[in-house]
Order: sequence, then C-alpha cells, then structure tokens
Amino acid sequence: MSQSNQIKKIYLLSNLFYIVNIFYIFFNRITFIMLENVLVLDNGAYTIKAEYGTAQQPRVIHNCKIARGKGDKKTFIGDQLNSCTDFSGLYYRLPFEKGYLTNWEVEKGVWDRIFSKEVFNCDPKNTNLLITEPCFNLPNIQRTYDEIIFEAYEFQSYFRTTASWLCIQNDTTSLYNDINFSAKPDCILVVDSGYSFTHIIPFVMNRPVLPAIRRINIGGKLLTNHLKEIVSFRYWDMMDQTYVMNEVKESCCYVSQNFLGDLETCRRNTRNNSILREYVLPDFSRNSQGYIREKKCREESYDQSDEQVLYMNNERFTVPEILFNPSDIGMKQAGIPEVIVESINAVLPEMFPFPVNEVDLQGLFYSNIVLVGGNSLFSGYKSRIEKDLRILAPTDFEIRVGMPENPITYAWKGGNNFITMPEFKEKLVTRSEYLEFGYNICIRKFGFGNETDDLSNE
Amino acid sequence: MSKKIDRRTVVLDQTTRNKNIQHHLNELERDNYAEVPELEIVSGTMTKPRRTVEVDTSQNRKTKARSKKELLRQLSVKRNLNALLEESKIDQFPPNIPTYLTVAAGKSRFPPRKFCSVCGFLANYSCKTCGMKYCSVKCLETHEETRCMKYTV
Repeated sequence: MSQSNQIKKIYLLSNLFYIVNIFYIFFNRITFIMLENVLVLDNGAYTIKAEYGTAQQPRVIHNCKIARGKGDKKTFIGDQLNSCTDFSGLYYRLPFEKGYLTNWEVEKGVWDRIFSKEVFNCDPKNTNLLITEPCFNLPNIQRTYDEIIFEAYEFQSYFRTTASWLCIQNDTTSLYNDINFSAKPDCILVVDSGYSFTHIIPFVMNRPVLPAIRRINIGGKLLTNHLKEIVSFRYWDMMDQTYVMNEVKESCCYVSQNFLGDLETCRRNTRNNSILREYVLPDFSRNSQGYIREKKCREESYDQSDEQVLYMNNERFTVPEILFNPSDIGMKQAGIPEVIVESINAVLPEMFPFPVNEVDLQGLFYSNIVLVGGNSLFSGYKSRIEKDLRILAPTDFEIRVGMPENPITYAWKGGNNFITMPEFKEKLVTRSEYLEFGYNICIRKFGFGNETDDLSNE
Repeated sequence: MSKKIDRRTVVLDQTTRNKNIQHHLNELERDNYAEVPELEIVSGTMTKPRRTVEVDTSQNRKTKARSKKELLRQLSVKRNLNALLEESKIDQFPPNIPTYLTVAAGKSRFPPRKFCSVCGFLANYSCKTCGMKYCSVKCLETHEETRCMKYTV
C-alpha cells in the first residue's frame, strides 16, 4: 500500500506535536490537579470500571442491584456480589436499558455504595470526576447526568465523554506487532462491542466522525439471553439462571473460523465430536462454580447422577456467530465486518476542512482497527474479524486489527492516561461554572454526541 | 385431534410472522425472565415516591430553588427509553445531524441463512403455519408440539 506525501506530512506534523505535548505535560504536571483527587469511572451497562488516577488497574464492579428471589430477601449492590455464594435464581435490576441510563434509582443506589467508605471513600466535594456515557446519549439523559453529579452529589468538577473516545487516548500503536508507526495515527476505527450493543466509531485526529458511526443492536446481554433460551429449549430449564448462563457463555463459547465446517462436525456425531464440551453446572452446595469436565471422566462419573451436565455442542459457536450474522436470529442488520466496511465508506473527504485523498483515508482506517468491549474476549473474535474483513475490503489495503490485553478496562486506562494531559483541565466543568451557566456549559465543553463537535461542522 | 387439524389449516401471513420475530427480539433484551418482585428490593438510599410525580419539562432549570430531595423525587419517576426518546425530540432534528435513531446499521447485503429452530443445524424447510425453519421430520414434530403458534397469542 502506498501512502501519499500529504499523509506523510501529516504524520511528521503530528509527530512534532506529540513531542511538544510531552514537554507540555511535563511542565504542566507541577501545577496540575492532584491525580489522587481524580476518579476515573467507566460507567458500563454491566460493570463499572473505576479507580483513582494514581492507580494502575481499575476495580471492576457490577453495575446493578441483584436480589435473591423467593424467600431469601437479600439484596446485593455492586461489589457486594463478591460475598454472594449462591448464584441461582438472581434477579437483576439494571440502571441501563438498551445501553442508555434510564433507571436513576438503581444507578444512584450503586453509586452511593461505591462512593461510600467501604469502596472508594470518595468525598465528592474534593473530587474531580471523569465519567463515561454511551454514544449518542440523548440530550435529556445528559442533562440528568449533570443534575445528579452536581446537584445530588456536588462533585467539584467533572468531564463526561464516551468510552470509545477514552480508548483512543491510549497508545494504540502498541497493539500492533510492527514498529512502522511511532506517532499516534490520525485515523482510528474503534469497534466497541459491549453488554448492550456494538458501536463502530471512526476517529479522525482524536475526533469522532459522527455521520459514519454505526450501531448494531447486539451485545453480551442478548447473546446470554439467546443461549439461555436455546439451552432451556433443548436441555435444562435455565430461564431464571442468567448469572449461571453468563458464566457458561464466557467459558464455552468461541467465534468459529469456519462456521459451516464446524456446524457439520457437530451434526455428524452429536454426542462425540471435537467441539462438544461437557459443562458441569454448579449446584451451590458442593460447587458454586461451574466447570468444563474432561471427556475421559465421563464413563467413570456416570454413576454420579447428581452431577448436572450441560452438553455444549453447536451452541458453543452459533451464539457468538450472531455478532457476525445478526440475520441468524431474524435481526435486519449487518454483522460487524460488513458494518466496519459500511462505516469506513461513510467517511467522506468532503467532511474535512483540509484536503484528503479518499483512498488514503480508507487505507488508514483499515490499518488502525481497535477492538474493545467484553465481547472481544471470545476466542477467535479478532482473527475472524481479520478474516472477514480481508474478504470484504479492497485487496490493496493492509488490514491491521489490534486488541488490548484487557479489552474491558482499556477505556479506563485511556482515561487514566488522559487525566495527565493538559486538555483534561480545559475540559472539566466545575461546580461553580455549572451553578452559574447551567447545563449549557456542559453541552459546550463536553461535545461528543452533539452536532457541534463534528469535524464536518467546523 | 380436532385441535391439531385446526392448527394445520391456519396459516399466518407475513406481517404476523415479522411481528413474532420482532417480539422474540424484544424478549432477548429482557433483564430477567420473570418479573422482579418489586417490594423486596427497595433500598433505603433513595426517597421513595408516595405518589407518581408529574415531571414538568418546561420548568426553568436555572432557578436554583429546587432542593436535592425534590430532584431525587423527580428522578425516581420511572420512564423507559421510549418515553425518553420521545421527550428528547431527536426525531425532529434535521436529517443531516446524526442521532441515536440514524446510526443503526442497515441490512446485510447477503441473504439470511436458515437454521433449524429446534436443533440449530442448517434447515431446508419451513413450517407451513408459522414460517419457522426445521431440518427433519423429527424436529418438525418437536416444533409442532412446543413452539408452533406459541408466540401468536
């Protein structure tokens, strides 16, 4: 793939800026907000990833209230779930609906818990908060964020952005195994496949290209529910065991590289093939954790009829396959690789205030793809995307797909990186500013999700 | 016996079939299979509304008279995403501004594959009545006994 001089020049320029920036950061740190007063909180629909700026790793906390039904009336909020030993028949109460924060009663309960002495021991009046919101958050929901953070908790200052934007504040070049590019690339495509949905977001020079963002309405929750449903129909009734089925999904499911081939392998011999796994379901008296049983033991343990075994055959790969072919369950949307191509094609040179060559632009996106979000942890996910993209993309483009070591906490790490930058200080809205200007100041400063922040409207 | 004959003569039209698929997709978005028993989970941290409070959206929020308690009471009024979408009025934005409604990915270029609704393998046939796929006579029997017409009511 050849690159024009223009792009090279941009690279050199951005390289220069990068070096200048490093010096800038160095001198700024002295006068900068103390990092231990900054709480970075990636508010995911399933888990919250949060910790103070001085830490290296975030704590992952369930973002829900969980109640034990029938008789046992115990409620677990957030991190209290760690003390739960019986995961059968849990009721979830989630603050998010289809990826958007709608139930503030639950959310406030969870936040009350994690800001309390037992978890983060956070004093909002002396804390600067960096919090994430979903892509294209509704303006009225954003307003509620502002109200809750400034009026109910009275935080000193806060900055609200999307998790995908925080992801690209990391050094994404280190995700690829080559050393061709040392500077931060100008074009990055983030594939964020989370609990509620999957977003494909192209970034140019640190800014999202809003008209090219695409959403697929498939996330981890739908996959778990689908698995729950087919398992309940075929083997055991697991409809009330969402927690258990989520663990089954995480330990057994994988993304197939040869879908029809694997399906044929499963069909030939449904009780003995290389794909079949025997998952021993937890009974919460002797074992509270399910596990995959070795096949050899099958004959020996045959007498132990009290062990409930779930045979995972084609379920292992047909469930994550929905991410690649939503039409398999009747959803009228394209899968991830196809939407990546659609999204890249939607980035038009006319959207930029400076002249760009369309081919170069597309090439840059294809060679800077970053996979984040919990669904990236399915084994084979990355190589399948590479494989499918190779088929769909024009042949002269290089395809580089990178996945961080931990795709769940990558946004938090980016946030942790971002708070050391001087831009963070500029983006923060303080409580006194909010009290003076109202939520308009938040709209003006936070940008993303609003039409004002788009490159094309500059 | 007569029930079985009745069922075989009924054929669902395409609109109902699409509606069933949509209903199924909505089911997959649920947090819990059964309804959450409401009373058990109320925690003490939030002021519980005694009666439903009407949220006045036209209220001028710059007046700072509103107390914390009142804010929390307003927020504890449950509104689902559809209500919020309506309230946000993003459907009235000019078409060149991307919003939640416009970013949904479009249809695939490729035709959908067909899988047996019972065993999950490739299927060649579809049920005359409801249109769900099946792969063999054995699976058809299971389908008719369990799933066929179950979603229609």
